[in-house]
Amino acid sequence: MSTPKVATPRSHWLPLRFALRELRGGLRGFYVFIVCIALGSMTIAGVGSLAASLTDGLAREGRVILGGDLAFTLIQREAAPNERAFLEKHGQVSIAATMRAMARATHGQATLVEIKAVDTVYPLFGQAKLDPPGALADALAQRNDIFGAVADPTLMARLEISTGAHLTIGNATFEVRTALIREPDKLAGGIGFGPRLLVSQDALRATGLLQPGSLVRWHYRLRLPANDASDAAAKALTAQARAQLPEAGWDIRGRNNASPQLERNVERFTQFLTIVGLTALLVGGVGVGNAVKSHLDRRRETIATMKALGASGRHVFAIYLTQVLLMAIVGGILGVAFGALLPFAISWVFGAIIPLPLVPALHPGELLLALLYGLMTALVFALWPLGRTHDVPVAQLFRDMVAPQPSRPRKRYIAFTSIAVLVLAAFAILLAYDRRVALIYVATAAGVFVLLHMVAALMMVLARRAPRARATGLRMAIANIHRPSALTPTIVLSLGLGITLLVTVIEIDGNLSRQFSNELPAKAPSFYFLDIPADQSAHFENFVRTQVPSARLEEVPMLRGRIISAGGTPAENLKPKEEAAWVLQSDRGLTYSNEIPTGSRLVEGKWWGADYDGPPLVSFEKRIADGLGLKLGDSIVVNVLGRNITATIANMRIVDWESLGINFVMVFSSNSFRGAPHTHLATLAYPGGGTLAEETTVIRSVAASFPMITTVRVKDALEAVGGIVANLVLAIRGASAITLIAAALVLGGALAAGHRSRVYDAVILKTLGATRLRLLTAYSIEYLLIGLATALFGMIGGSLTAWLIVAQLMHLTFAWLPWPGFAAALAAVVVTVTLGLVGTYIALGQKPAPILRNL
Amino acid sequence: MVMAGLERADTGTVAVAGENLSNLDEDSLARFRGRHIGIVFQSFHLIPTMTALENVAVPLELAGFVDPYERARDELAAVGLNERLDHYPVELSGGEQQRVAIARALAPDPAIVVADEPTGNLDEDTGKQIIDLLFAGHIRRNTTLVLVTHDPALAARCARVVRLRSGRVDGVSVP
Repeated sequence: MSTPKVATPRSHWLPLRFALRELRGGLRGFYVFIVCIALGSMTIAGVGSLAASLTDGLAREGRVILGGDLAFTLIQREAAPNERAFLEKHGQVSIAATMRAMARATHGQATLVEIKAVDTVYPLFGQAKLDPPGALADALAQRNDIFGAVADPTLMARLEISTGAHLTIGNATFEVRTALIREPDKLAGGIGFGPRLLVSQDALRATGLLQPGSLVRWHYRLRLPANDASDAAAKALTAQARAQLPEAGWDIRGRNNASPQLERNVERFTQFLTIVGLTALLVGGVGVGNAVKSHLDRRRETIATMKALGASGRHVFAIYLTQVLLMAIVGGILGVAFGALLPFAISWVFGAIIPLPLVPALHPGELLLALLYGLMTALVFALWPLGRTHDVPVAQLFRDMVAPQPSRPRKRYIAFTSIAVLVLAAFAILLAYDRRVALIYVATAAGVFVLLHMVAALMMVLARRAPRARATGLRMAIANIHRPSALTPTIVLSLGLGITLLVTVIEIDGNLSRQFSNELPAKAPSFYFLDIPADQSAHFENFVRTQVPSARLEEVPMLRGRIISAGGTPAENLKPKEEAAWVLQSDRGLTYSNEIPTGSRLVEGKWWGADYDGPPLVSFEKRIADGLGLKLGDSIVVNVLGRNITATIANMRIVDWESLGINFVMVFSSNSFRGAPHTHLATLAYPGGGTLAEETTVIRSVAASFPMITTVRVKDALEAVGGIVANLVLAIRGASAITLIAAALVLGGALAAGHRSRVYDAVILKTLGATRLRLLTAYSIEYLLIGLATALFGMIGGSLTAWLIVAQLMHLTFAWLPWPGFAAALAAVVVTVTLGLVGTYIALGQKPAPILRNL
Repeated sequence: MVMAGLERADTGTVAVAGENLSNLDEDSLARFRGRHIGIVFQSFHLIPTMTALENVAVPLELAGFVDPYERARDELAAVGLNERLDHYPVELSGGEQQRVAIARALAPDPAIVVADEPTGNLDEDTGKQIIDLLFAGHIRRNTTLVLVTHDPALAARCARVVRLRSGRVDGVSVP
């Protein structure tokens, strides 16, 4: 006692010491908090790690995917001798030609195939895996006038053939010698509508399909003698090729952008899944808020005691903030640890079947980011209730003192909360691949939160003002909705977020499935016919009209071309908007006409006359032109068959893409391509849609009579795209399921927290003579009223969000599907009421005596 | 409450231990309490997640003492609890809990100890021991002991009695 009092500045570690001391009692009450943060962080860490592993894989395998250090691609023509000499001067060249064609089996069945005609040095990098194994050159070699072919197993299944079977393509006959199990450069080709068939280049020439204007792409892959990791030699050669051969019009790709479309899709999809992860965190944030609030409620006495012993409000805030951060770190690390395992798990389980070069690894940056998101979310939702600890009155420790506390924290804590919200929003927006999408997401999330708070407040006001009900059950239920510390705001927020998300996912899911299902739009054609030689066009038309007189056949000329420059700016320097970028990514179909094409509507400028014969004019699709920053009168240069053609934009059209008819971004005046060899493209539509039997007959008869013409069945093409979409939807569903688990947890946590006061209520009411049935009725009505009002909002909110995503972001037609959404909302309400009633049932079973003794 | 800086006076000024409490903000009042006031509650109000030793050390740590645990150990020994240092409140009897509370209140050597019905939750014998401890501490340290009680016999042990009725001073006497 005699020790002198030596005051020192308070230790900075004091809050941590006190926080840890408090946590010694265990993590009870923090489980929901930890799991909520863990689920959200896990999703973000998992998605980020998976995407990074994929990007790493694409980068590492870049040369294999590309098929060389550099790839030069030409459309519809082979390299001219000077171009070829340029390439051969710089390294070893491997040539591959790709095109679509019809393969016909000996029993008459025909199907679309994606031909790749390779040379003897293919592949320059990586290896093709064959089954049965053997040398590729042997498998493709010509024996007794019959060429060898290596077929994707899907093709064999589709034509019901096995190795050794014969196929006819154009004028040539092939023997399928082996199956193609792995094609090293498959990813660079993008989505194929048919299975792959590898043949030799001599074989392709023998088919007779290489006509002027045929849709063939020639790929020249180059192995450079000295290209190190910096890729400097490849970059230098690219620049040299552009400078020396500016008219070539070839698409040059290096190993760093072997498959730009795939990389873009990976990034876009990563963003989408990150948003789902963020939603999981936001939903979990509500649980964090609830957990912190009830933790602090239980600690009010301790807080008041500490303040009585000399702790300032700021000090108390620091202690509990430290505690919350510790819990958030525990949750975040748990989540991040599981998330980090995702690429390993996917590689382990699906490695053999996914066609992507996944290189599972730990990505500290992605994991740290997920952890930061978890911490930020915890702060956003915890700062408000934490701020209120500052003013916990000490007076409540004294007898008979009723010490009300203001519901809002001090201004500084409101400011801290606002800063945390802004930082989290800025994080989500600035780190996004597409900031516009992220901005819309942040605004929508904020809107949903505010609206749900308003719905809860409105319900409480209405309940307070409702006339006194005669039935006791109803009266108690209504009182429970609006009394102080009622469950209403928490249930509305967690259930509302859950239902909104559920309805959003169901509506998007339904709309995407509808878009890519077999039920085609009424006017959609059943077939596209490609590569109709111009001189056979009339003959083909007659043939089809005789075969299917009731169907409608439309035919237009078609060429392929790349945009070289637009409005005077070279294509590589253009900065297109997201929705228009695809037009510059590769070659595009072009047509010419002196009449406005069907399915198009003129919105700006004038159409050139039927007998226009002046300088080339072009009609541009309005939204794409806007996306490229083009206006009437601008010039555009396209490279067609190695020739640059300059045309002036004369007018703009709006195209109805979803009609699936013959739609072109660019329609040129008829004189623009005079003399250029080209083919025709045709569509065939049955009135009211065709049956499978009708369609099979057309495929067979066209394949037999016009072996050069490629028939694409629209339903097959849609199925191919639909298959990919289905996988994406599956991933979205998986990530959304995590969010829904978080929502259910939050709801369960809220009900459990409410359960404590329910036990108290039930005991008192039972002491006063209330029967179990009466209490159960009251609670059922309460949960049902809250559940139904929330479900209604969830239906509206979810449908609006889905509309925003489908119509505004994906640019697809949105059809409201009320029933699945309604069923999901109803199911959620049933779950809530059941959960609530289970809790109540337990509460009703409590014996009064032990509880009353402790009151 | 006003004297301990827990409530503000509606009018006038309050000066305690040379400090004008009306001029202090919330955080300064907390620091003032930590330095000058020790409080003993009727319901003990020990922090349930801390041991007896840690409970006594809390005000010392908050006030920035360099040796909070040594001091706390001495204070607990002084109230006869040197065998119960590492026990949690839930493991202590009511009388023991109140002894910890007294040790906690006296530990920073406050100028004033406010005891609010300190025996209200205890049986008669234990209550008497607690009061003896409080008075012993008050005499030994020469602190002011402000005792709030409904028990006239207990009030009679004090040097000065201020009688309150409905929140107003009803009389002051020196027993």
